Amino acid sequence: MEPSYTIVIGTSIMLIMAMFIVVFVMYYQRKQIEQRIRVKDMEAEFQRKLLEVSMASTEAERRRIAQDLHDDIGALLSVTKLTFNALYSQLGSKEQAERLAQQVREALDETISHVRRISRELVPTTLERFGLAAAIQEFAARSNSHQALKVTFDCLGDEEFRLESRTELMLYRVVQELINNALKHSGGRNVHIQIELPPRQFCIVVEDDGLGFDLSDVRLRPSPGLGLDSIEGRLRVINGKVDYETGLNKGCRVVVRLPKFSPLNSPLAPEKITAK
Amino acid sequence: MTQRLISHIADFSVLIPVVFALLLFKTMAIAHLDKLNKIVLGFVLLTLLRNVITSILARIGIYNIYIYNWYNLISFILVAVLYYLTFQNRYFKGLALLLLLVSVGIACLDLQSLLDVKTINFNNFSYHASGSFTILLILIYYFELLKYLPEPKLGSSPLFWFSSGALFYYSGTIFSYIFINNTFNDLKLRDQYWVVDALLSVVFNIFLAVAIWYMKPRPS
Repeated sequence: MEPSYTIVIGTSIMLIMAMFIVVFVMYYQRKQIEQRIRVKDMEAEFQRKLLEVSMASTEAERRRIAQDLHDDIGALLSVTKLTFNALYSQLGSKEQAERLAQQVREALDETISHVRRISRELVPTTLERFGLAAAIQEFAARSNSHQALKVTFDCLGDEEFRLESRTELMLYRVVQELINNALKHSGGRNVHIQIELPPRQFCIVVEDDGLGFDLSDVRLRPSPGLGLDSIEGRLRVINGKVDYETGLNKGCRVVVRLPKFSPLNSPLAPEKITAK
Repeated sequence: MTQRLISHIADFSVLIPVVFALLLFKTMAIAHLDKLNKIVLGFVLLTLLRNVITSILARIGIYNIYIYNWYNLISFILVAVLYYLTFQNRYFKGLALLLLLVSVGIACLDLQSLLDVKTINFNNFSYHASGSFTILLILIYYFELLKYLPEPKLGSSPLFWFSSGALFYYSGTIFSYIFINNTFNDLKLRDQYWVVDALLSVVFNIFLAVAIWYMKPRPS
């Protein structure tokens, strides 16, 4: 064969092969990237499910402890108090005995009220009965009574609106964490909580006029303080979003949003947490 | 006449990536580019220099083949360093270095074609070797692209465009290189060689321009 033909045929074959290789690399690389994204999505979904199960079991455990405290310890303490009252009536009116009896009665009363409070905090009954707005309002009022900080609450939208119980519980825990952060770390004088219920949107804002913090600095720590992990983990489970508007000496405003929410009894609502 | 026109177009086509490079420098300093992008720009600059010098020498009737011989050697050194820096696998890195040394060694076998400014011969082995080695390095680069997936968007990777352009150019010219000394002595074949080389040069320069277009400052 003449060199001329050899060159033409050889060059053509090489060019076709080169084109095939380039097209193949582009196509296969895109497929590989898509595959990797799919695997990452599956991993993220698995992590979300894992977190969901872990949080559900935590809530179930809290519920069990609250019930035990209320039904067993609380009942026992009430019986003890009644028994003690009966015993006291037998003691007569010696001054020393009366003073001691008064002290024991006060201690019992205090213990009973503590058990009730712990039980209520473990499982917020107001949340189950009256919904998120009422439960947050109650929590805000309770936080108000013990602190130098003034906690105010404001609700917009349909107050009767109820979310699926798991979502309400997660949001309640998030707001609890945010209020506790403001009370413990903000160093401010006012905390304002605003909840906006549908029909317009679902949004909760917790803001304080305290010292604020450097968000990137907090995020850089190996285990972020201020419970940010827990807040973000809970919101991930219910597909919620959180935005922090803060800076050093600028106070802090945290906005929690639920872009897609399933109202109670919606056919789209995920299966509910079952607990004792 | 047509061949001469195509040859001129090929020589001037290097101005396409040069113009893109100048546009790039208007928006950022060269110091902000990473090493790989700098090497690609170096390659463009080297090609521009070759075209300018060989055109001037041809016009004034001075031998210019030794310029092509040197360009072939230096451009392969740039390519080998480029892929040495790109490869993630240490054996492939070693292979890139080895090919660089072998290529220099092969070029030195025909030292006269490099040192004699009046040479009328293309380096005997250097063109085949550097063409084949470049194709091999590009295939390894593609293999790593698929294995490690370092580029989420291949279409906007300067090195991918450079490699694809180089693959077309070297695959298309390797047969001409193998027969380079035959083709150069036969006027008909020489024209054929120049046309193929010129057309592929234009394609390569367009790919180089796209590569420069996608260059971005290195992350700080």
